[in-house]
Amino acid sequence: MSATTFEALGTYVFLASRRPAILPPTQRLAAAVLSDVDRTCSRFREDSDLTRANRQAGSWVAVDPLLVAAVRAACSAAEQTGGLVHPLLGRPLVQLGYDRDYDELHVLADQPAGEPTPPGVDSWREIGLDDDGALRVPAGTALDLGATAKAWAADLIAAAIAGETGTGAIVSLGGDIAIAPDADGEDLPPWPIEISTHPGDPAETTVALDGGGLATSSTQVRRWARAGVHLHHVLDPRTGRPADPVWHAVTATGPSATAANTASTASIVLGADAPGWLEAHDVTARLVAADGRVVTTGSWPDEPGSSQAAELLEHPGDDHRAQEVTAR
Amino acid sequence: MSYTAKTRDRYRLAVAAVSGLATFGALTATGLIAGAAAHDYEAQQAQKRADDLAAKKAYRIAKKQRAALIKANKVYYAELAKQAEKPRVILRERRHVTHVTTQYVGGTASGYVGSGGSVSGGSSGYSGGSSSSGGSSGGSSGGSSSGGTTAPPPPPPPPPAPSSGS
Repeated sequence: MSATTFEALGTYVFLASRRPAILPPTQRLAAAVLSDVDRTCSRFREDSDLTRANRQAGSWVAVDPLLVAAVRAACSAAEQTGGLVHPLLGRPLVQLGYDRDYDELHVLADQPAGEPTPPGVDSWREIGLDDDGALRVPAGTALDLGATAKAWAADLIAAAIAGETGTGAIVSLGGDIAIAPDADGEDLPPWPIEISTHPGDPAETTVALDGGGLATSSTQVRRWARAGVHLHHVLDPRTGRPADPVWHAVTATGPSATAANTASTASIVLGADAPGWLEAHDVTARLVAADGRVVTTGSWPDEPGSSQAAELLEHPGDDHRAQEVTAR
Repeated sequence: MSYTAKTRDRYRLAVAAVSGLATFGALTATGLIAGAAAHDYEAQQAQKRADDLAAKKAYRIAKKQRAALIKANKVYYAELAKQAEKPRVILRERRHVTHVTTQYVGGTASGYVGSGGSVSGGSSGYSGGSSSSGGSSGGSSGGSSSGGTTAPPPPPPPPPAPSSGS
């Protein structure tokens, strides 16, 4: 077993494989995929296909088919969540001050944030997609794939590793995890995963996952300030403002990293409605509330002090904390 | 010369002959004119019938041509509509380069929210340690062999993958 870490897309990349020999080519493959994703999908590169499409909003623009595929994945996330995970949050993010690489945001910390313009929950349906390599961003809006692109890229890397090597591997791209299955893997141990709210923090819990994807979304990372007002990057498309921090972090699983990330991001936006939504969608997840309590859904392993959302939803009177879960 | 009864009769005869001739001439001329008029009328009627026939024929041809034009237009506009559904690019600024990454897109797992892999407690053989950088091997807790039989050592446990908030 071997593992390696490197940086890309402004975050960390963790790769582990069951065969040490394939790690170097696997890393090269991952770096190539991430380079392509960055070149096409970045909102912070003047030369990216996404930036050109945003600049010409309202017109069809020739783009790399890779960007079309990334936007299609983002639109699928929007469809599954009723627009809560939205690909057209580029303008409100810029209006709130997130207009450059996260590491450079402190430069304008004393300037007030603008008033965000929400894109309209269904506006993503107006995005034009041509799989041969063309894209039309609706006039007056701007794409931002921050909610889905990392997880989607993790899935791409896992698919590339599986296709090229047939060897089991795990990819974590800034916390969005995808597992590449072994071509002949039987009775292989599951992959251990450490969950934490902040990168680099000690693990809050460790679980093992045998396939699919897992993702953690948080209101406590990628935060910035404008004139003393603290903001975070998970916006509620209904208001254009950062979602209420009902949950500090939500970790969800799914058939892929994209699916897991769609569920975790939607949960942050849903706030108190998240446990019910996750149960309804058969998602196994772990939610950490602002007061530190832990709520789990599906078959997430029990932790000391954690509550099962299903029990809270069945017996809301048993626990005053359940009122928060079932609110609205 | 004296005017006699014979003279009178001659004049009377002459007048009668001239009148008769004149009457005959007039009647002949009238008949000729009437005949010519009737001929003209017939000719006009024939011409009119011919014109009507030609007009009807032209109308039928025009009607056919119009139907053909409408049909052609329908085909043309259907093709236009088909093209509009998949519009061609308006703005071309980038070099046309196809990247190999695209081939992996179809191989990705389902992006649909739902149950994924099995999640279990984290005690799956991993006993601490952190992942290493640069391709070196991760934490190893490899078992030691003892006794006469040499069992293959179990594979080293995988280092844990981090999933922090993003």
